[in-house]
Amino acid sequence: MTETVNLQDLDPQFKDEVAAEPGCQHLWRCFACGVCTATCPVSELTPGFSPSQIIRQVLYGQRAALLSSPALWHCAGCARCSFQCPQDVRFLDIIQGLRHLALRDGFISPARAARLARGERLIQELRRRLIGEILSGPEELEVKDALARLAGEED
Amino acid sequence: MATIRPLDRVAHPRVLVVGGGIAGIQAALEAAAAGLPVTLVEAGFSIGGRMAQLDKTFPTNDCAMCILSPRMLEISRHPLITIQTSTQAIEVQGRAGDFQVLLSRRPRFVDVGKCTGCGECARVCPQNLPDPYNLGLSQTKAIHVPFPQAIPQAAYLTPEACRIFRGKSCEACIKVCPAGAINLKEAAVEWTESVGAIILALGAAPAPAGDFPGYGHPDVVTSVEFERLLSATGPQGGKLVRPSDHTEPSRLAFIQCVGSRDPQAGAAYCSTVCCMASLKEALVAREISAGKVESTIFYMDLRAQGKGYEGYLEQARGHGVALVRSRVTAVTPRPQGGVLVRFTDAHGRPREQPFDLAVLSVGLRPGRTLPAWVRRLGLGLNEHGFIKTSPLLQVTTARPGVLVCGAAREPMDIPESVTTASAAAAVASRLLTTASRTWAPKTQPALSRVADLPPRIGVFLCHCGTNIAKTIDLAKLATAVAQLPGVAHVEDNLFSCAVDSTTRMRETIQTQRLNRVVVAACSPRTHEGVFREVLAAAGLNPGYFAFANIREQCAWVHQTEPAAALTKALDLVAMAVSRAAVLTPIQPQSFPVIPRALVLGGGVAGLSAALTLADQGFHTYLVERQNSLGGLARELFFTLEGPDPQEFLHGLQAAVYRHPNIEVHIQTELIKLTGHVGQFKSTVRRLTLDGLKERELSHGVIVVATGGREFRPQGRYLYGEDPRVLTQRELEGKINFCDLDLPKVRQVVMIQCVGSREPDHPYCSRLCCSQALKNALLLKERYPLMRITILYRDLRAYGFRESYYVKAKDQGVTFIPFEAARPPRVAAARRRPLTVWVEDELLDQAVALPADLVVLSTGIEPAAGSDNLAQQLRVAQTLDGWFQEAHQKLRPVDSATEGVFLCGVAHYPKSLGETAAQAQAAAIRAAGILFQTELLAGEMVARIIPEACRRCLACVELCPFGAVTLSDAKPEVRLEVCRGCGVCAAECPAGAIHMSRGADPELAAQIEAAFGGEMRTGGD
Repeated sequence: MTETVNLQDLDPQFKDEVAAEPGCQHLWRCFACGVCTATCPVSELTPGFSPSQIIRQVLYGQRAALLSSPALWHCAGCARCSFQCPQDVRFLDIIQGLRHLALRDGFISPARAARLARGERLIQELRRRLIGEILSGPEELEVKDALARLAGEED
Repeated sequence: MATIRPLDRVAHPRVLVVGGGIAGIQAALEAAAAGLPVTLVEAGFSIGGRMAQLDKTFPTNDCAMCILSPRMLEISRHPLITIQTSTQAIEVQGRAGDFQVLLSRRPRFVDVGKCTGCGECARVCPQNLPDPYNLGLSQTKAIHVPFPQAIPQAAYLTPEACRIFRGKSCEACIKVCPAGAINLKEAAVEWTESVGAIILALGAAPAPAGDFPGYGHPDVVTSVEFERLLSATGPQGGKLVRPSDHTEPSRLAFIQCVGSRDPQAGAAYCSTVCCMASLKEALVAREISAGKVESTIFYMDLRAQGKGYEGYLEQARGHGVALVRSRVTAVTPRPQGGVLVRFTDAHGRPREQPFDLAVLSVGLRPGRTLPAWVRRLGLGLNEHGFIKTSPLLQVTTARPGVLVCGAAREPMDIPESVTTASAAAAVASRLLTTASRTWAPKTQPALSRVADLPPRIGVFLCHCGTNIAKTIDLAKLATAVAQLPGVAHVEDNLFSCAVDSTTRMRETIQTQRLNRVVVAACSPRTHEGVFREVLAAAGLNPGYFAFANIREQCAWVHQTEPAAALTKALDLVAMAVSRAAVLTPIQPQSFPVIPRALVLGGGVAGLSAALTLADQGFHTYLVERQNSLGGLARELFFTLEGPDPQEFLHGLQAAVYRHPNIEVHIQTELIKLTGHVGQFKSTVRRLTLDGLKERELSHGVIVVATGGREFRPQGRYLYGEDPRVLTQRELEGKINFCDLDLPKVRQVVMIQCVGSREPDHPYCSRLCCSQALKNALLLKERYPLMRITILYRDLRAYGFRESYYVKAKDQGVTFIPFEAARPPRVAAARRRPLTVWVEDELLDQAVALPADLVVLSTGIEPAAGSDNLAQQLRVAQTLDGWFQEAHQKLRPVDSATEGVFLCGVAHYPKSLGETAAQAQAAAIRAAGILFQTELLAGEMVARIIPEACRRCLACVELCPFGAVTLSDAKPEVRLEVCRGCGVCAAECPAGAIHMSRGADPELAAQIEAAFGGEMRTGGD
C-alpha cells in the first residue's frame, strides 16, 4: 500500500451530503462492479480518473481528498456510465454534485470554476469546428495541424 | 406458522407431478417409493429437462447424462409411475385429497407404444430443421428422437417442418418405419385424472441474451449453448471450436450476471448457479483442449456457497482460470473473429482484452408454463415471478395440496432441486397419510434347477433397425454362432426389445427348453432388465442371462470395417455364450424391516425429520444430546426474510411432543450401533437423576441431524480481549434483548469470512453473508443513524437474498471488499473507538475505519463428536468434517451406508428453510425403506468358502460396508449388508472369497472364448 488514510481524514457525513445532491440518491446502491469505469472514454485517456475510485472515496468519506482532486473536473459528461449502470447509480450526477460541493466548500475558487466552464465551452466549440474542418476539408488533411490552426484562431 | 397436517379425507392416493426435469423425476420416484401411484406430465417430448442438455456437472465433473440417464430409465420402468409426455394440464378443480385435473396431450404423430427409437425415420426424412436439443447449433430432421437417451425412446414429428403437412408428397418415414408407429392422423387427446396432491416441478428457463450488446456475433454464445459445444453429444462431437471459423479457441471470456442481478433486465435476484457453472465450463474447456484454453471469468461476487464449491473455486484458480471482479455489459466483435472485452481492473483502471470466444453466463428465469399454472391454481407469484412459498416451508404453496420443488420456486442447483423434490414428495405423502398405498409386486426369481443340466443356450441377435445390421452381417454371424458349444437355438430379430420379439422369445425359451439365454444387442445398462423380465416370465431364473453389446462396442465404433466388425461381434457373442454356460441362478435373500426410525439430533432438522416419519405412521426415536430440543435455532431470533424462527421452532417442538409416534430422548447419546439397513440396533445412554442409564433401540433406518456449532474466533480481531468485538450471533442476541449499549453505538464494522474460506476452514459457511445482511438491516431499522460498514470478500447473497443486499445498500450500509491475502486488522486505543484497518485495493490505500462495535461473521463447524459418530455409523466425512452424501448431485441426503440418511447442518451449513426441506427429504428417503416390509439383499454378494479361509481377517478390516463380521472367530459375510464391491475377494490371500456374479469361472470362460483356447488358471 502506498498511502494510508486515517480516521481524522474521513468524514462520515460526507456520503449523506453527496447523496442529497440532485440525482445522487442511488449512490448507496453501487455494487463496485466497475461497469462505469470500463465504459468511460475519459478514464481510458486520463490516468487519474476512475469513477469506481471516486465512488469508493465518497463511501469512505474522504471529503478533502476528493473535493480537492483534479479528477472531478476531467469528466466530459457523456453519461455512458449512467446508461450502463445496472444499479441506476448516476455517476454523471454524482460528479456534478461533487463539483458543486467543491465549489461550495471552497476547494476551488468561483473564478477558477468559471474558467473551467469557459474552457469546457471552448473545447466544445473547437470540437465542432474541427469536425466541420475534417468533413469539408481535403482528403489528406492532417488532423493535428488543423487542430493547432483552429486552436490558434481561438486566441 | 402453518404446519403440515395429514388430510382427514383422501379420495385419491395418486400424485400428479408436473414437469419431467430432474426435480419432477425425483419427486415422482419418491412418491412412488412411498406407495403412491404417480402421473408425471411433461410438456416436451422427453423427460430429462435442462439437466439433459448439460455436459458435465459441478463440483464432481460427472457427465450429466451419465448420472441422469439411469434415473430416467428407472422412472420409465417403475410400475407405479405413468409418464405422459407432450402433455399439459388445462384445468384443475377440487381440493387437496380430491383434485380433478384435465390433461391434454398434443400429437407427436408417433405411437410411443410401438416406436422403438431406431431412428430409421430420421435417416430417410428429407426435411432438415434446427435441432432444439442443441439449441439450433446443429440440424436434425422433421421427425427424430429428441436425443439419444430420450425417455420415451420414441421419435416425434414436427408438423411445421414436415413436407406432408405442407401438402407435398413424401411418405419416406411411414414407408421405412419397421414398427408401423407413425400416425399422421393423431389428434390431441384430453382426459381427466383424479389425484390427491399436485407437485409442481416446472423448472426454470435460461434468461434471454438477445439484448446483450454483441450477442448476435457467432463467437458470443450463451452458457447453455456452450454446454452443447462442450458436449460429446453436441454439434461438434465434444471438440471445442468457435462457431465463426471452426478454429480452436485459446482465450475464453465468461461474462457473469447476464440477466441476473440486473433489475433493468427484469431480474433483480441472483440466479445462484451461474458462477459455479462458469467455473465448471472453464475447467472442462481446459480439459478437453489438453490445457490449451485459458479462461477469464468476469464476475461481481463469486458465489460458491454450496458444499465443496469453494474447493472447486480454488481448483479452478489453481488451474489458471483468471477471476476478474468487474461486470461486463457489452462485448465488441473484432473483424478478425472473436471479441474485445472492456472491464475495470482491481485498481479501478479501464482495460481492454481480446478473446476468441465469449460465453454469456445467462441466469435463470421462471419456466415458460409457470404463469399459466399460477393462474390455474390461484397461487401467488413472488416479486421475482417465481411461485411464492414461505421461506421456512419451502415446498408448500398458498393452496393446500399443491406443492412446489426445484427452480420453480427459486433458482437453485441440481442437489437442491433434488432435495426439494424429495421434500415435496415427503409433504405429499404426509398429506395423503390416510390413503391406501400400492406396492409394486416384489417377486422372488424362479429357482429353476438347471445348474446340473447340460447347457441349452438360446442366442438372440438384434439388428437394432439398421444400427447393427448396417455394419454387421447378421446372417453370417448367426451361422457362426450356431457352431458354438452349447448353443441350441439362434435367431435374429429386427428389434429384440420390441414387444412382439420379447413375447416370441418367451415362447421360444419354453418350446426349445432353453436353459440359458444370450442377447447380442445394445447396452446391458439400458436393456438387461427388459430381457431378465422375459426369462422370469418364461420360468427361467434371470441369473441365466448374458448380454453381448455388439452395438456401442462394435457396430457403432467400427462402421468403416464391416469384416473386422463381424469377427469382433462373433468374439463378443462367443464370450457371452461361454459365460452363459457357467452362470448360476440369482437367489437374493430377503429379510424383514423393523418399521421404526432413529433420528439423531433434536434441532430443526431432527424435529422436521421426526415429524415427517411419524406422520407417515412410523414410530420414531428422537435422540438429543442436550437437555432441550431446538439446536442452533434456539439462538436465532430473526430471519432475513421475516418469519419468526422461534415461532417456527416452538411449532415444531409442540408437534413433536404431541405426536403419538415420537419418543423424545433428551440428554441422550448414541454409544453403540450394530446391525444394518432394516435391522439396526443401537444402544443409547441417557443422563438421568439416577445417573447414566442405557437402553437398546431397534429400528430400520437412521436419520443423522446432529447439526453444527459456531466457530469461536478466540484471539482473532481482539475477540475475547475487547468486549466491543462480537460475533453475529451475539449481536443478534443483543438486538433481540434490546441491549442498552446498542443505542449508543454510532459506527459498526462487520468482518466477513472469519473462520471460513481460510486455510483452517477452507469451505464457505454459506450463511454468514445473509446473517450480516440480516443484522445490518435490523440495526438500521432500529437505529437509522448507525453507520454500518461490511468488509467482505464475495457477498454471497444467492437467490432472492440479493434483494436484501440491495435493500441494505439502499439503507446506507457500506460494503467494502478485501483480499484474502490482506485481511482487515482491528486495533484498540483506550477510551477511543476501535480502529479497523482495511487495505483497499481499488484506491491502493490502507483506510482506518472507526468502530464502536466490530462484529465478526464467524463460520460454522461440524458439531463436536462428529468424527466419532461418523465411525459408529460408518459414514464418510468430507475433509472439512461434514457427513458425506452418497452422490453430491443426485443422492444429496443418502449416505453411502444403506439405511443412514443425512440432513441439516451436519451435512453442510444451510438456512432454516433449507434445513427443514432437507430433513423432509431425508425422512421420505428413510420412509421409502420402512414402507417395505421386506428388503432383498443384492444379487452380487461375496461368499466365503470356510474350508479355504485362513482367518487372516483381512476381509473384516477391508470391507467398506462392515458386512464381514466375526462369528466364532470366523469371518462371515452378512448378505443383507454386502454391496458386492469385491474388495474382500480381491484381497483374500487364500482365494477363499467368491463373488456370486462375475466370479472367476465366468471371467475365465470369457477369456478362454476370447482367445479361443485353454488358458492357464491362476493359483499356482
